Amino acid sequence: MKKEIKNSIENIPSGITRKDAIKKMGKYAALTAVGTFMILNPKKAQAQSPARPGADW
Amino acid sequence: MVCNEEKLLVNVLYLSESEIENNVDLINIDFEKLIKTASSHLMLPAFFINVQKKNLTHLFPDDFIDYIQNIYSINKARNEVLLTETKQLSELLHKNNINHIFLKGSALLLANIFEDIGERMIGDIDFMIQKKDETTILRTLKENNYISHNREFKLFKHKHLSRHTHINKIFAIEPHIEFLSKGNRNILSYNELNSSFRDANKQIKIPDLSLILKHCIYSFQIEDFGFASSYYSHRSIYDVYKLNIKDETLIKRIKFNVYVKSFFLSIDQFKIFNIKFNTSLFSSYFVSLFRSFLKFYLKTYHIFEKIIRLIFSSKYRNYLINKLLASR
Repeated sequence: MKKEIKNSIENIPSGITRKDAIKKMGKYAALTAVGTFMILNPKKAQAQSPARPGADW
Repeated sequence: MVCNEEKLLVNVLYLSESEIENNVDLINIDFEKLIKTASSHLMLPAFFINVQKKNLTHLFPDDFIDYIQNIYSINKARNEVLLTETKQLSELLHKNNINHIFLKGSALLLANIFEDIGERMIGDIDFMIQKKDETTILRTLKENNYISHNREFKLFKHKHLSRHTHINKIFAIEPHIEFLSKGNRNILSYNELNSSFRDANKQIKIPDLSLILKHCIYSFQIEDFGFASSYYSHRSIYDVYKLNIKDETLIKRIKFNVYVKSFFLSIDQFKIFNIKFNTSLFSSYFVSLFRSFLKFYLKTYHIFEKIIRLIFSSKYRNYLINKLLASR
């Protein structure tokens, strides 16, 4: 429960919430492949090599 | 079957403004699908650059252009940091007498093969070191507050040492000791960099363009399973295309073995490169047989590998016991 509350009010440095940030990016953000966001997100990009580009097989 | 959106992606990337409509139904483009396709190939920034360069913004909705421009801007800022961190890393390694050569995405960026620094999406900084420097680099990185992310125990030595990150840096680094995994090192060996390593110049070094091209193709075909899956990556195709623009003799000089042939055959439908092959039915049959075997092997080898390791490697057994005890 505590964790849920923490996540919902988590602020990014610019002062807007994660939810607002996604809204601001528009409908296309939800359709963007995970690999693209993984590279653009420093924490996720550091954690592992980016996934193989292209479709799965 | 290539969908309408992927055809548009290819046309925007490789054709001139007047040819964009070739084989594409522009009226029925699904822009959401276009985002899905381009982003799964890590091509949104390159797509934006080409749309802008070829004055095609009028073909897309405003919110679509705004979105891909945002992605491009974030990526550009990230690649600017990559160049700074590459320079800092190179200085650190030279200071500790570790000879090194940058590979893959950072090498492409350092070789200036892209017109715009934000065009290529890059995950980490890969570089090759000499085998004699393995211990020195691990010590140097540790002394300079890099954190090692150890992989699971491997029976065969991996092509690179463990991935390292630094709390004050954006990019993770991967020090390579080979280009490819064990079993494929006869195709592209570390020894091809010997002359570059002999060069005592203490500047940022990259392999020559023909080696970058070979690494780009083999890395996708072998390490990313492009050959086994008969699939292609638009990011790799674009790298090869850009390298070929820089030096048109590169593709002519490369040895057309089964992996290189397969790379160009899988993208023959897009007519990006004008390459003619001699593929007999007989050789195609053996290639498809080899591919099926490889596909089966790649999907099941981890099970066999674990069993073999468990039987023959006491080191692996100890590793598993320690892992089990730690999880309790």
